[in-house]
Parts: sequence; C-alpha cells; structure tokens
Amino acid sequence: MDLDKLLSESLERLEAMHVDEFEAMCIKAGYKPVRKVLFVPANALSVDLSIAYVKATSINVESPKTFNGSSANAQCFSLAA
Amino acid sequence: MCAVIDIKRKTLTDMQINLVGYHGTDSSLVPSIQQNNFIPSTANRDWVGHGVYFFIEGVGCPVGNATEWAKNQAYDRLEPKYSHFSILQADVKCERLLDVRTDKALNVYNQIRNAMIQKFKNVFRKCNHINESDCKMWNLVSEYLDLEVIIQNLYIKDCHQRRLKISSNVPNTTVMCVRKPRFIDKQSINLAESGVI
Repeated sequence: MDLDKLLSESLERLEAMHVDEFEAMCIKAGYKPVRKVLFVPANALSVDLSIAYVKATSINVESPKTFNGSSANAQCFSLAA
Repeated sequence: MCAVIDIKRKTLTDMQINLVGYHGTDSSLVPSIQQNNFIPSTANRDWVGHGVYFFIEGVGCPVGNATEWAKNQAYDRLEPKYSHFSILQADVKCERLLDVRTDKALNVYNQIRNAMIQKFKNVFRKCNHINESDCKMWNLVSEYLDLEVIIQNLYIKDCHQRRLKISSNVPNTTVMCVRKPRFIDKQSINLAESGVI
C-alpha cells in the first residue's frame, strides 16, 4: 500500500467532501454531529409606527392596621356614661 | 460516491496479505463461531474501532495473550461467566491493511485524524466528544480509508496487572482488528488451545 499516495489523495478528498457525506460518515462512526447554524442576512424590514403606547399602573393596597385592638386590654377602656 | 471508491481502489489495491490470528473466548461459543464466523465487537471502548480482534505474532506470545484475555474476560466482578476457554486460530486475507506499528502508518493516521477534526470543527457545532474516543475516531478513519485490517501494539493488563491496577503506555501485545468477518477465512478457524478458567 503506497501510504504517501494514500495520504495526499485522502487529504485532498476530505477537503472537497460535501458536508452531507461527511455527516453520514461521522454518524456511522458513532458521532452525533450537529451542524452549525448559518446566519443569513434578512431583507430590509418596514416597521409600522402607528403603535399606541400605554403605561401600565398598578395599585398597591396595604393590609388594614389595628391599634391596641387586643381583647386582652379591653378592661383598660373607659365605659361610656 | 462510486467515483470515490474507484479512486481508493485504484490507489490502494495491492497484493493480498495473509495473516494468522488467535482469539480467546468462551468454549461454548466455538461451534457457533466455526459455523457462522466471528461477530465483530461494537463496544464503545474497542481499541482501534469496531471489528473482530485477534492477537498476532509481535509483542508477546499471541496464544499466551489470547489465553490471558479469555481468562480475564471470564470474570464479571467475582462470578465467572464461563468455566472453560478456547483459543481459536484463524487465517485472515486482506488487501487494505494499516499497520500502525510503523512510523509511516502512524503519520498517515495522525494526519487524517487532524484533518477530520478540523473538518468536524468547520461544519459542526463545537463539541468535545470528537477528541474523546479513540474507538470512534478509528471507526471514522477506517471507514474513510476503507481499511480492512488494522494492526497495533497495545498494553493490555494481564491478571496480575489487573489485580494491582497497573496502567502503562508500554505495549505488551500485538493486536489485529479485522473490520469485517468476510476477511476471515471461516474454513481456517480451528481450535489451538483450550482450558479451565
């Protein structure tokens, strides 16, 4: 087996190999390759400027407070005449 | 695809190479192997990729290495999986052999591997497992080069080394991986040795 020739031809062929073929070969070998996501520039977008802006307001209701309302202190209150 | 194979065939078809290998296994499997041929291993940690493994002449005694392997494989933790082992001898005929005991063949493997890794990085998302497993990389390179047989020197722990958990990067065996059973001459498979675990 001419190893020099094998090497040079194999490297050339690998360089030119289509991604589909390479992917199939990797899967057969036991790998789980995930292709890189290719970013394609989108066409120009027109934006609709007639959008209304509404500010959201929230109301915070506090819990009712009690002042010396404990029944244990009931005897301290003066009775009505 | 056909063009690719044509190019490879034209470049690599050489004279036929004959090799003799020794495979240690459970004695109860011998009749089936002799009748149907070997079944390639597809384990994730196969040394040089998936295939049928044999010990051959080189580092150490191939029959001794196969015996050691068969005895060690018999044990699953403490319980033996089989009580008798057999060493099968088989003839292998191939044309596309990569013997990585030579510098030249190792350089071929390493350069193809590096090119594979680079291509992988160019077209696929970043992942570490491309470098993790020798087995998968061997599968990939062997598939790409359409290899039939790979020969490599390996360090495989014997019984004593397993017990003491001795790791080493100094090879003590020579192993042949036959990627497809069709390269093994089924008629040549015969019993070389057998014994008790």
